[in-house]
Amino acid sequence: MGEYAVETQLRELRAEARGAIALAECLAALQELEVKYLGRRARLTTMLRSLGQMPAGERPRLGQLANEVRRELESLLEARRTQLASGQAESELVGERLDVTLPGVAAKPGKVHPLMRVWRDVEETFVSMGFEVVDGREVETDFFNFEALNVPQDHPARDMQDSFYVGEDIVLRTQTSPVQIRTMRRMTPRTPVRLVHPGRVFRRGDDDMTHSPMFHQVECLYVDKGIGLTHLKGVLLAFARSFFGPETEVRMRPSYFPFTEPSAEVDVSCPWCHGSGCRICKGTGWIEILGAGMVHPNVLRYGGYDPDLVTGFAFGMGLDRLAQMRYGIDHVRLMFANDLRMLRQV
Amino acid sequence: MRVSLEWLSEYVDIPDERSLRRELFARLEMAGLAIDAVHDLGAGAAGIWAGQVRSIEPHPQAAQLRLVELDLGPHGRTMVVSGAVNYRVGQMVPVVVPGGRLPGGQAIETAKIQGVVSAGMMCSPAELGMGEGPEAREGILILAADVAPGTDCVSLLGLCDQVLELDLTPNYAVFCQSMLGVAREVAALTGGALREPAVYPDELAGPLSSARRRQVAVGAAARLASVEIADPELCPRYSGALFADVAIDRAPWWMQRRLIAAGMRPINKIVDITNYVMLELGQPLHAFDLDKIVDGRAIVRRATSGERLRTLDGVERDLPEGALLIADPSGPIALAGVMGGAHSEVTAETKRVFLESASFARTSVRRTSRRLGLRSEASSRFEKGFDPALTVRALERASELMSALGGGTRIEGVIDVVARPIAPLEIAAKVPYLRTLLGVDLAGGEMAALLERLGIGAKVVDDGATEAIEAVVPTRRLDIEGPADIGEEIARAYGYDRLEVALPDGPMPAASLPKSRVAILRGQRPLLGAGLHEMVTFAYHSPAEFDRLRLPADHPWRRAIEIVNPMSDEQGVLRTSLVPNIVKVAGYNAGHGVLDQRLFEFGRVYLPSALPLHELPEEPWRCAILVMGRAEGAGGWQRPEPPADFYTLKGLVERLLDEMAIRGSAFRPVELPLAHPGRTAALELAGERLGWLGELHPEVAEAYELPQRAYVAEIDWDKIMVNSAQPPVFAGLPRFPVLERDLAFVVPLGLPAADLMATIREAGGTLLEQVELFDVYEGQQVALGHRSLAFGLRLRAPDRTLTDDTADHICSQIVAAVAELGGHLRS
Repeated sequence: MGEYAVETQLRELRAEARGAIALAECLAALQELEVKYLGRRARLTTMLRSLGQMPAGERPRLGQLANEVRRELESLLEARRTQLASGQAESELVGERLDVTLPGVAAKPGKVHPLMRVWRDVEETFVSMGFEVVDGREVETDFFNFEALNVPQDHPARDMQDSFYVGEDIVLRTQTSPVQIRTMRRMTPRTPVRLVHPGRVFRRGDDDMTHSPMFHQVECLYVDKGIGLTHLKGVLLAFARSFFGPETEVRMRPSYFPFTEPSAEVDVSCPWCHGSGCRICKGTGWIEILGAGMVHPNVLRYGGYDPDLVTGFAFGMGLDRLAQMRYGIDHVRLMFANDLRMLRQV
Repeated sequence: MRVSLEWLSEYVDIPDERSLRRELFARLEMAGLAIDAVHDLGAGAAGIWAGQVRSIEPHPQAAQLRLVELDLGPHGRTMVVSGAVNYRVGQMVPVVVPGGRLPGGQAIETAKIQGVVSAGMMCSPAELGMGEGPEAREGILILAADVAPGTDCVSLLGLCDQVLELDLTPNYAVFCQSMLGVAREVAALTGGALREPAVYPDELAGPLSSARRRQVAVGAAARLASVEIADPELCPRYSGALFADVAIDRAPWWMQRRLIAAGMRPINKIVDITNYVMLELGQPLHAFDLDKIVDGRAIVRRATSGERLRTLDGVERDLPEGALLIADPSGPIALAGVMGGAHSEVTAETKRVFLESASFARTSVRRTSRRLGLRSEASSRFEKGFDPALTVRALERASELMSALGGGTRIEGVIDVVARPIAPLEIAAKVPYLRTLLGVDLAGGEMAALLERLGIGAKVVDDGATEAIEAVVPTRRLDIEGPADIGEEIARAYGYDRLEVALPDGPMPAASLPKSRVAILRGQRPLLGAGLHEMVTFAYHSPAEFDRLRLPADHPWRRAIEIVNPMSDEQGVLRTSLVPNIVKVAGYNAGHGVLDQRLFEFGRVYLPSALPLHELPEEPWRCAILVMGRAEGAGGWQRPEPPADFYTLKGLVERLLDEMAIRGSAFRPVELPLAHPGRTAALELAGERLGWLGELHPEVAEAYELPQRAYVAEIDWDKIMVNSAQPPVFAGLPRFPVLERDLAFVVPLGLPAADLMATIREAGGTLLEQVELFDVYEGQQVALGHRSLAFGLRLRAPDRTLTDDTADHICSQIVAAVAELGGHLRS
């Protein structure tokens, strides 16, 4: 074989291999081409082996060309292999396609009871304002529930709070206010006393859409030197804005509670209609949320403080109605029925 | 308290315009007079004119009807058909013309009655809303003769009236349970003039009245009747006036209309006048038939045991011993301040009346009224208290009305026994104290002026050291007792709406939550995460739940505190466990088609130290869990989870314990009456019971109509709080590799897995880092009465790489230890 023929063969071989590699459809075919063009019995291999028989002057040039062809074919094979491999992986992934619109799979978490969510929000708001949240008992003596709160026997205010009796002078507390006395007695003579106490209370009486014999209140008490009605208004406003929203206004109206003097009924501007009037505020733009006032001197005395030295304010707010309003629960019975169809919704 | 504005305007100006009225109402509310409702009486009444009867002709077709021609002045003449017969030619009657409307809303049109056109209708008092009963329905209202034909009867008769329904707080009730009291507040708020009904020349009348102890009986009255107060504590004052020739007929329509507007029923002239004066001034009066009082002697004393009285409502009552009553020498004739006796009641035969006007102690009236379950307009006024200086004034006012309305002739003289002196209260309040209390920087003089506006005498005194307000409180303001009340009056007059907003200054103390709350908030987390919904149930339940839960008579849960006065059986006992209510909730939900349930509650139980209750009970916190059926959404369409079983519940309890860092707790089989005997465990920590968990007994599940197996746990949360360990400390990452070995043991069925695991741990020693059970097999491949438990063991040394030899050695130690329990490696 002459040198010219060798060179031609190499070029033809290269052209042929280029075409074959480009046309190879799968990795197996490519493997065959690799054997065919670069294998031990391939023409190129034989030709390289037979280079020794070529004239010495031509050997380097032909050797270089043969090696060039070999390298080119190697790299073409590699490139095509990568190309084919990725295409194959791609098509395999296509086979793994999912219906991404099917629902996800995870256990649904449970929900906190709507009342307890309001409880928590109130608690958090007051903690952020520097109040100590205290615990308090639910079965109380007549003394702590009434006497020490300036409601002696036969006081007409007892009609406002008909109580459940469980023993001689032992009642289910009708209000969260007994914690005022218990906390003051624990604290005296230190000031300030700043407490908040959410808890459950019980009253005999109506059992209807808005009244349940068991319900919940949050009590707040602030006793210190120099405390006045304007402080009460300030703390109420701060609370209302934090709880109902920054636009909220508060309004105080004179009222009566045996354990406060002066006493006030407190309204907030309706958080749902912002005062323009809606179903929830019955068109008035205001919602009555709590009773408040300056701690009655007799109550301070029962708590172990001298009303000539300190003054204080207190208020009590119903939690159930807040939860009812917030979550649109029209009947208070639903609050304690624990109907899962409701609990899952709200 | 119902306040007719038509009536009220007799004492103070009330604007007619709606918008001005609304402003007034808002002002009253801002002053603390809560308005529950505003009733529009006679709204829409129109076209009712005074008509003079010109002629009366028989109806051509119907003998019982008449044709009446009426002169309506500027509104012309009309002809109406009427069935009534109580009017004569020349008299003045109200006529509603076609197109007009009655106060009740009924529209009147021209109608043909038995073939004759009737253009309008003459009105009866009942049709005008001015009276009740047959008399008010059967006759036409006859107007005063001097009314001009065509006069608008709607305004003439006050048919369009607004009635305020006031919700009086106990302090307001003291001085606002009367028209005059409300008028006085309105006058103070609007600056309007107060027009008091005629004031009589009596030293006790007037705003700052006082009376010394005295016994007055003057004139002819003194010879016919007498009053003795045997109990000055309960009856500080008792006054009386006598009337002869009394006429027991009806009161005039205007008075009846006002009584109806106030929510009372007109009875007869005498009773109506007493009620009218009570509503006007606030002083209840009671009319006795003087001739039924033995010797005319009224004795105010307490009931002795065994005394009885038939009250006005016809009920024969056993009088509670000590109840205050009015008696004559023969026995009780009235329950003081509550209700009169039937025997001395004013009847059609009554000729002479003894009118009582007295002050009774609030507590006495309240107690008697409560004990007998008997309430009246009078008793509610006495219970709340009112001006003790009113008695004689009220008698004089009644006397004036009696004479003006032809009710009877006053027998000259009055009886007035003042057993305890009445005097205005004097209160000194320091100005700096008031300033602090209100947070308003008012001068003493300004405070005094505000008090004066409310009718409270006030002057500023300054002893050089402090300025003070010296207030003289009129007797009608029994609600004012001390300096703080003076503060409230100043604030009320100043206006709560004018108060500034301030925040307390001073150091901010550390705010915190109580331990119980922190623990509950922590405990909630794993339960919520596992899909459990939080419940809030009642603190009480029916004792019948104990039976439904199969609890034997001596079961500790039955040692529950009973509510003495429940409203229903549902409030029978305070709960001693959360379980009865949580199971009830599950039954309720199942009854509403919710079969899959995941619930928990943190709540208190009430544990008495002894019963009946003499000491306050313990109120520990508990946590209860109930699972039944499948979890919501778990596994979804992919791997539907099996319904909850014991291990689902146990897993939840374990997560809870883990969250609360309870270390070393153990579960032991236990039997409870309400639970499945083979599927219940006690939760223990160092030998102490922390709670229990298990499947509800099938009978209990049936009793509560639970459709599938339910699993319940109750945990003593107070003990969890006490035993909750500190959060774990990071021990560093492991430095040497782990060796893993799997061992499967065949053990007798009776061997608890916990014992086997404890043995493995003990035998494995400190190098055994973790033991995990991964398979439990019972069946043909192991011997009968045995099961196979397979464990994955992780072995690691803290200071070196373990060799296979060491691991094998540990495993053989474990195998040997298990062998002692009767177990062997599964081949």
